[in-house]
Amino acid sequence: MFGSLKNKSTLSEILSIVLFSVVIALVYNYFSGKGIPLFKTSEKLKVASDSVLFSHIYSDTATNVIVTTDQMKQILKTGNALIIDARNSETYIKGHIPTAINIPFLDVFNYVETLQSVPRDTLIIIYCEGIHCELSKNLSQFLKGMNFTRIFLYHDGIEVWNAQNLPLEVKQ
Amino acid sequence: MKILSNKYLLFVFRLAVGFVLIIAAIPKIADPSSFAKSIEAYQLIPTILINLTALLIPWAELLIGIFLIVGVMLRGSAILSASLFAAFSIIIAVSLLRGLTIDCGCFGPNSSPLSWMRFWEDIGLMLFTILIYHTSKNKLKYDQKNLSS
Repeated sequence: MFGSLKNKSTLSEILSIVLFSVVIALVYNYFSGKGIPLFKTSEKLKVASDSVLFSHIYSDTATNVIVTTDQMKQILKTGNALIIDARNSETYIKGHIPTAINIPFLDVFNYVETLQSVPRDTLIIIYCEGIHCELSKNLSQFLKGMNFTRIFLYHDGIEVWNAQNLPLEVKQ
Repeated sequence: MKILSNKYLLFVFRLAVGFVLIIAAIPKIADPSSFAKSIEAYQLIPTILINLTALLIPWAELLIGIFLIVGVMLRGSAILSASLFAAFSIIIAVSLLRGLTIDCGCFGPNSSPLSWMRFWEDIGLMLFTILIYHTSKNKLKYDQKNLSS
């Protein structure tokens, strides 16, 4: 008898806490200045046109403009871009896109001095793990804050690069 | 084993788990958008549910943390807390085994990279809350026995 009473009261406690959390979360989200939509929709990304990418035109700094894997191959051939791997150094060492340098977003403040010497209109391509990875987007925002004007994301990241058996550079 | 049911030690456990939950919740409540991005990076939840999860988890953490410290709805709070820590441990382990190099998001945006250390911390906190649950359950049994006699 007490067992069922105990289970019932525990269950009602759990339900009360969950319900209370839901109500407060929704009310706070509605009135807070930092509220977010309840249901997230997929992010719309703009693919860079070749004319913008391979000529000296400033990129749109308000949105994330991405480059495709084919464009990445083209960029590697021309060799006129600074490719940045935003993942941590352990994963960078294991394998990265050829010529890419490593600026782990989580340690970005250690690289500010290096970045200061880079001309602001350098074509910069940033990548990380793949489409769900936020490191490249965060690093892109950081660099836009430093007034770099031609920043693009290789949104597919190392996952798609690997899946297509494209060459990797391994740091010894 | 008797030392583990010592009421002072259990109060310390409740304080420790409660404070961890509150400290983890506040930055996420302050910046739900960043927390949503942290959740998205784990690639485990459908896109449509990411924002709802980012809104609900921090408030649940905050309320459970407060209830554990104050001693209100202790069994319910302990079960929910243990479930949260179990879920976090599994998610962290799965993500590490998948080789994801992402921010943990445990204490808000850019808190620390995902690591096995975080996994063991969550396992430890889960064990603390299981102990809190069992002690409060036994206390209830004792109270009910006294009530019926």
